[in-house]
Amino acid sequence: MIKDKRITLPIAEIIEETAEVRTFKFDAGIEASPGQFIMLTDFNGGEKPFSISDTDGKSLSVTIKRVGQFTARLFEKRIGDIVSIRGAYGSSFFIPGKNSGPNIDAANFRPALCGGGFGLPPLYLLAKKLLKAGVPAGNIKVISAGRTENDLLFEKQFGGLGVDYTGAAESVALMSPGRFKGTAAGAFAEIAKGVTGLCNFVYASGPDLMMKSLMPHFSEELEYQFLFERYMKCAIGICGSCVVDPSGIRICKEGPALWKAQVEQLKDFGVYRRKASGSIDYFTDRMAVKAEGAGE
Amino acid sequence: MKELRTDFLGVKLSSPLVLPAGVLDISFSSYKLVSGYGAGLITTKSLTKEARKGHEGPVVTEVEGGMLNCMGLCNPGIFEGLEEIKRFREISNVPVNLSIFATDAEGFTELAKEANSSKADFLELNLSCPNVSDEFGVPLAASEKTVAEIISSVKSVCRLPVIAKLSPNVTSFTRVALAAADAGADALCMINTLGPGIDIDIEAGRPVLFNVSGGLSGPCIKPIALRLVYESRKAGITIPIIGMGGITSGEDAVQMLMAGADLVGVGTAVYYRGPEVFEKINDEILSFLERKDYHFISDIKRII
Ligand SMILES: Cc1cc2nc3c(=O)[nH]c(=O)nc-3n(C[C@H](O)[C@H](O)[C@H](O)COP(=O)(O)OP(=O)(O)OC[C@H]3O[C@@H](n4cnc5c(N)ncnc54)[C@H](O)[C@@H]3O)c2cc1C
Ligand SMILES: Cc1cc2nc3c(=O)[nH]c(=O)nc-3n(C[C@H](O)[C@H](O)[C@H](O)COP(=O)(O)O)c2cc1C
Ligand code: FES
Repeated sequence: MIKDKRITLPIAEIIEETAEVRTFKFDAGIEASPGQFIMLTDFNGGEKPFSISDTDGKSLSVTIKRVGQFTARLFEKRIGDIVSIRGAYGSSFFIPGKNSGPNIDAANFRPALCGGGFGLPPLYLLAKKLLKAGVPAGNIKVISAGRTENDLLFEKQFGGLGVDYTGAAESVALMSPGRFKGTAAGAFAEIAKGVTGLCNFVYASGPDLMMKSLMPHFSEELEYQFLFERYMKCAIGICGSCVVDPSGIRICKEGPALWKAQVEQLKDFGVYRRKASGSIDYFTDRMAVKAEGAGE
Repeated sequence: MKELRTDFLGVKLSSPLVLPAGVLDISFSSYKLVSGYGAGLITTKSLTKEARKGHEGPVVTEVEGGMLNCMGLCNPGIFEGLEEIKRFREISNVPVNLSIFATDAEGFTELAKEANSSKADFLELNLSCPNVSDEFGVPLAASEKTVAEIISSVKSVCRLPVIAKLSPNVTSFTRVALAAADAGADALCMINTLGPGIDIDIEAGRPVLFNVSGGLSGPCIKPIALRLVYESRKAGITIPIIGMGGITSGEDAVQMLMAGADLVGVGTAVYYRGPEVFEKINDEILSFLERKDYHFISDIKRII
């Protein structure tokens, strides 16, 4: 029997989040947990991974930033246009009492959710599921990075959940010279530094360098999960495109949510990623943020 | 003591199981992962002179009994590919089979020269990719003459044992196999993906694969793979054969050895059973040897 079912269906709803970011909603009953992703195609060339930003078992949303050819074509689509999705794939974020992880009960769980750009939407689904699992809203700190205040995604949605939300935009950074390094990532790291000290778990989702910038502020015993992006083709663990060095972890299977112990082994984290051909592409500070579409 | 260890062209392998070209083999980390689970030989992704990004997606689709793929020979190019082998060599002694792809004898020969200075143990010539026919035409393995020409040219410059990977999608398979052996191939690898085939999304009214068609692999092709290995032996092929196509369990691997293979490739099964599939199949072969009171892999080779 075929395990990997594809669902081809009309777009049910399109929500404009910012000029460059839209949420696409589908009436698809796919079981999915926060951190997992789907592969999306319109059969016109390209099938790309997108994190699930919301799901209630009956419908499913992905939130997409326009960065290149494929996403630009998606932005031309209207409600009712047919696209095709498969998934959900990959590992998911820790939810106390729901899946395995540190031995902390929901009431004492004080997580920081740190995200940049389109790293934020999967954290929104996570926040919802944390609340549902009984984590008090006041315990959940969300830090969002974006280039300008307009780029801070999901501010309203997080507000609606009643969690503690802080936006770190470059404009904020520039208004406080000397305090932050002057980039969204710098502001983000500064704010995260203050917040993670109060937390007993960190989730991060965004470009490598942004996630990496958090690490110096972590205490040794702090447990965390990072959500990784690598080039995906098959998404079912056979092509090798998304594999990270040197552990051989497949980001489409064992990832995209990796635990601290897995992250600590990575040699490529924040250093390079592989292109569609498999050849190595080194990050440069500014470029990495741009290439991955966060905070820009 | 039951024994999985086996000799292949003078090289000792810990297991007859081979990671075939194109499955979890873009980077040294994947080789490490798979060899850690007990594969005896690692084949690299087929490398071309320049990097190729491959076809636009969708590039895979699961079909009844298997899968279609049209990866389109995505690879980082020979130079970066050889670096991956070097990195693997620093952490592992598991032998490596370097797969290369070119469009003619000259191209293969040029790549084979690069292979001489590599850390690979074997050189495999992919004469049979079915997914790039728009670009390159019919598989090279369709013509006995072309196959012979490529192999003798490569053999004249290459210090590594040369393995010819053949296509099942030809009218006279055993004639091509014999031509490859006569031209000096040290071993044969069979089969590459079958077809190609097509999957159609009826809601969209479109082919699922952007390349329209893709090579068929997985359990549904096993009976054909077994037959082609068997017929190659019947036709008088005496050089070693790496048999592959749908091998998913220890029983499948035993069948492949009985049909006449010396080593057994396990590709698409990674999808069904994870990279741990190598460990599982090794164990399953061992329990078969135990149950039937065989001692060595060689006891069951070519038994039919
Ligand atoms: C696990 C995962 C989750 C993601 N979640 C989201 C999300 O929720 N929202 C969102 O907007 N984007 C997300 N992305 C990124 C998204 O897949 C790319 O932005 C998209 O593929 C770009 O396609 P393009 O043709 O528009 O741009 P291109 O010009 O092709 O590429 C722009 C950037 O996207 C990357 N990219 C292109 N193709 C792929 C691919 N097949 N796999 C991975 N990266 C690729 C490129 O490396 C480049 O950095 C996610 C990526 C991964 C791996
Ligand atoms: C995703 C994928 C990519 C492949 N890429 C190559 C390749 O680059 N070169 C090659 O010679 N064979 C390639 N093959 C064919 C396999 O090596 C093997 O011959 C075939 O899949 C049959 O074995 P299986 O059923 O165990 O997968 C590929 C197969 C798959 C599934
Ligand atoms: S995308 Fe193919 S192995 Fe992960």
